[in-house]
Amino acid sequence: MKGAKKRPVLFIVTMLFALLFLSPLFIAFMNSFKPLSEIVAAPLSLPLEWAFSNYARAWESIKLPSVMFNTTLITVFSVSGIVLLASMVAYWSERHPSWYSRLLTKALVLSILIPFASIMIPLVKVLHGIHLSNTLPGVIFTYWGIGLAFAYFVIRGAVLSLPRELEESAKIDGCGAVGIFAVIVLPLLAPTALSVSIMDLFWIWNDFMVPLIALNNVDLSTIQLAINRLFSMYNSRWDVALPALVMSLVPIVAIFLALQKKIMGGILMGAVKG
Amino acid sequence: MCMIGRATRDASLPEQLLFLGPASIFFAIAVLLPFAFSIFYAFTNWNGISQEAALVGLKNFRAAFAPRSDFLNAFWFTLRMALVNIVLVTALGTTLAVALTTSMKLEGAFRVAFYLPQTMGGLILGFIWQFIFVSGFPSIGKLLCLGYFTQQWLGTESTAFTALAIVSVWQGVGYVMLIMIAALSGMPKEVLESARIDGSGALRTFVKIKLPLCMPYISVCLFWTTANALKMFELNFSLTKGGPYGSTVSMAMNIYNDAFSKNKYGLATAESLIFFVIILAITSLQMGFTKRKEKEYL
Repeated sequence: MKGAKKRPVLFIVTMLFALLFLSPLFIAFMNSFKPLSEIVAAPLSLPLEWAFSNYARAWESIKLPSVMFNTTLITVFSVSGIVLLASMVAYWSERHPSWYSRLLTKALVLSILIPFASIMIPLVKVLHGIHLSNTLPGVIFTYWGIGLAFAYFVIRGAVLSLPRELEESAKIDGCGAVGIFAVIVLPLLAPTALSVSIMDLFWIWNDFMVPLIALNNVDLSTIQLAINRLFSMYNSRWDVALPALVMSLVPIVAIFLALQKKIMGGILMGAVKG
Repeated sequence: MCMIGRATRDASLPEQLLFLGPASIFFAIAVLLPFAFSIFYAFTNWNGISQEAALVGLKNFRAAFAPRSDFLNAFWFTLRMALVNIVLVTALGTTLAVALTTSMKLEGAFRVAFYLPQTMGGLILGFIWQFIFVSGFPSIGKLLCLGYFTQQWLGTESTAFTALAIVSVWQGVGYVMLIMIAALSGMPKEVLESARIDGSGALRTFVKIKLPLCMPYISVCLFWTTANALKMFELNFSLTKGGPYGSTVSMAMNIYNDAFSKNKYGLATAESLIFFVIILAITSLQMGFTKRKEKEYL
């Protein structure tokens, strides 16, 4: 075994399956470069005439720069906030347990089972009550709140395996809890925090439900909202829709391809620990 | 090195506030308060607009469970979809993992290929597949003279279900593949080697050694697949819009529709509570089952 034995049949079958598996994405990609008449007449052929103007039109109609900016802003602030808050809770409740920290962490762990659909309706009302409905901070705070539980769960595992000696000696040197956390604990939690960040990055970038209910404002649209609106406006205008879909996938797929090893490793680590 | 704060023997209140306060606030805003409100509104006739909501007792729950109600239809759809997903995603993902741990050429590239849909949002993929079902499949059907492909895929109840199953399985296999590759490549070589020397056949080795060692990973996959399928929303929203005739409305989508398009907020919150209880029940059941299985193998 161990690679000495070649299995050409298995390789060919896997290859064919992989090509079939990716073909929907490839077909959509190819058609995004065709004029509408050609898309309708021959969706399976390669473009005869490359209509790059499709992309310009799609770029305009979903206001790509603005929606990319909003999505990036939401994703970056949400992910970093979740990881920071979860690390703080995980560290504090392990090192300085109190009745309150036990209550909070128990509530967090139990809340993992609450699906977003179960809280989304009153959430709109709560956000409205604190004057944050249809604002970017409202969406970011929502992600902080709902992302906290899982992140805490994974990061707590990392805190448990931290050596206490470093913290003890820092304490003797006159270091306060904030200092110990920022200078010693956070850097040691970085690998786990990174893994959680990766999982949350994909979740939030691709999420449609939270913006759908909490961001009813065209100017603040995320990429998902913009695509959804495009489809409700131009039904069957595939020459606009397909390039928009392709462009919406470019950033996240580029990140994935560039960092595939790290990303798949990080997701694995989060999955197995969580 | 550290200038902030002084050595304290015990946690001081301000520090506890600093570390736990912000998290508590956002957790309360996004999860606790809405959840508490849900429990209250489920027993009212709140329409989402007016400030008042009158208590109506169990009326919403009775409406949700009325014979042939939208909620029950959605529940039935979601359950079937979850079952199909659990079986197919696990089987296909594991098969891929087995194939991709045989030191094959291009192994890394294949992993990336099969994982790719996992990195894309359900909404986007639903729209892409809408194109495939509406334009791609009929063309393939004409090309190969296969009537099966030329039908109105998103137009009939059974084919719309199949379409959603295809897309959700297609999207999910990469995750299971990734986890199962880790499970299979983490096998202790010595154990497998000694099993081989002892004359254990491939099947026997698989059942007696590989499967038990993989059990924790398999539970991760089962949990993930089940939770994912039960919470299904985006794919239905973009691929079938719940149609035809509401046959592909998932539980989450039904809650969304009842609240935000029909303004039946009271009913929708009752449904969202039932939805939570269903997820809780299925997850606990699964947890109990896999715990027992894992123990059996130890």
